[in-house]
Amino acid sequence: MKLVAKYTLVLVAALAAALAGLTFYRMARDRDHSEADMAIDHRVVGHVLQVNAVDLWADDSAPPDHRLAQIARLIQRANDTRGPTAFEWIPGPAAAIESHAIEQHDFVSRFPVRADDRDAGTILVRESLDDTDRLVHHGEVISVISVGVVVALSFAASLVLGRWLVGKPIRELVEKARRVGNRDFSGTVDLRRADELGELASAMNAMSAELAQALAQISVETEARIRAVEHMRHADRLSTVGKLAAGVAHELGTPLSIVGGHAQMIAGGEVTGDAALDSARAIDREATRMSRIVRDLLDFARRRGPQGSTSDVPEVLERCVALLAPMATKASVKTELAVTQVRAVIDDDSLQQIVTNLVVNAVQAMPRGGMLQLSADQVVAAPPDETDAVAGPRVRITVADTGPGIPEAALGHIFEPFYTTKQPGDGTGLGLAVVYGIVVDHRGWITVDSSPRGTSFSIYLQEATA
Amino acid sequence: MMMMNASLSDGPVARAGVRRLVIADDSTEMRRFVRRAVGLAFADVVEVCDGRELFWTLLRARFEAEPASPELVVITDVAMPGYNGLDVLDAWGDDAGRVPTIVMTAFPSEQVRARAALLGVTLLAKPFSLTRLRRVVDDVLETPGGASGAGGD
Repeated sequence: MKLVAKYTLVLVAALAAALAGLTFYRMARDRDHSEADMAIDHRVVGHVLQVNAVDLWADDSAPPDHRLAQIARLIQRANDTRGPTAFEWIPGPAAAIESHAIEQHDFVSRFPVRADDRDAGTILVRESLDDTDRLVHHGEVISVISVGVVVALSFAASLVLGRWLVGKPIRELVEKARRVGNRDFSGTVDLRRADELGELASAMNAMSAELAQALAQISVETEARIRAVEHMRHADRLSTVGKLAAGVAHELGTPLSIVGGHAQMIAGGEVTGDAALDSARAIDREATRMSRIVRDLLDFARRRGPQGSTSDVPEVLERCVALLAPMATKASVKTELAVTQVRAVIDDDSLQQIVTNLVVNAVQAMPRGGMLQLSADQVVAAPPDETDAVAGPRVRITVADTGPGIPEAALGHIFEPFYTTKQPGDGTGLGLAVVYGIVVDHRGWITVDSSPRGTSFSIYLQEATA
Repeated sequence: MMMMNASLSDGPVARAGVRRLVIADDSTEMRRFVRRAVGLAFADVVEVCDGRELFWTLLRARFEAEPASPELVVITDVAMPGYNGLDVLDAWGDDAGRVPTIVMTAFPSEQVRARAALLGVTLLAKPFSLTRLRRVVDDVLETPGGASGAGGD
């Protein structure tokens, strides 16, 4: 439990420092006291001796040498009383006042003996500090040991308590957080405490429940959105089929008239023999043509289901061109197809729908005729909008027309659903939105380049290498 | 089918017509069929396969005014490569009314009907039966001036 260890370390260090400081302070004070006591003792004795010595020195009836000798004897007698204190007599000039000092482990007091401004000498009182020192040292050791024990005990207690009070609940909370991270919202953390960790546990449980709910809601909404997109695609597909069906009906008008007319001529006996044979052959030819027209449309409308998720691009483009050729010819649109053999990561149906939508748009953009160019090739490109995109091998399919172009103001909107510049009833406006959606679904992108000389749409899809 | 006088609706008749039929359609089979269906009512038949040729044919007939040049009757498709049928008639202006014209169309929409009325041409909706084709041609041939309004449906 790293947090508690840190916390404990700091606290215990502070405690130890305080204890140590206190102890050393007290020991210093004790030492001062003992020195003070010693000083007092020395003074008591020193003064007595000093007074006697001064008396002896002040006695004019004896010669100075005699007096000094007596003082020496006095001091000597003091020494005889064997105690911790030693007395010394130092004749000669003396200091002005008494003094106390520590000299080499001894406490030394000096008392000057003087009378009538004449110095006799100095009385020295010396006492060893060794005992005091030893006591102090002893005290120091005991203090260090006790501080050490306190520190160790505190540390141990903190660790144990920490692990029990903090470590375990936090581990539970961390595991809960990990579970939530893995989208597992089960298992509440039940701490049953009234402190901050208890609050945290309650908050996390609540948060986990909210997340579970929000996720469920998002998933419901996403499904609804996907369904809506699929509906839109289906609607567009139906609309495209409808457009093509209209084109097909248009196409069928001529052959039907011919077939019906010839049949009527034969049935009415109007033509006989070779002429009837000619009519029959004409019927045959036109019936074949009609079959082809209808089959092309049925091929497009029939959902072939997932035919694997890659397409032979040239094949799809050729099929679309074949299906839409009559419409293009009638509109005086010349078609050019330039393809390389390449496969794209997209299913047949979707690619067909994209290309058909774009080609129909292109043809409709050239009511007075023009040129429609379809091409497919391999390029190395990266999506223009993404900042972290990697350029890779792509299939580029381009549909270009020589129509009047798309106005600059509209360019930003063309991929929006229901945005259309056609007359009401003349188109759903879904075509490009569906193209955009399909392209994005297959992780590709689409660009448009337009000028008054024509418009060109380029779709970039992933190349299928298999 | 009962008709008052000998008309195409009764079946093929001997060439009694004095006019020249111009058939404009990009489908060869259609041109052949129309020729067989109604050609006998005309002095001769000319086939063109697109709008441009139709335009030049009309132009030649208008300005090469040979005394012997027959009057024209036009049967034309709308959707053809190059100029479409209605555009040609449009470009022809007022004189379009002078040349009796039948326009074959798959989509007789409001727009197309309006243009047809403006130009004074007859609409014939595809697919049509042999009978209807002959009746429309009869109407056009019988009506003085040629135009019979919206004869199709």
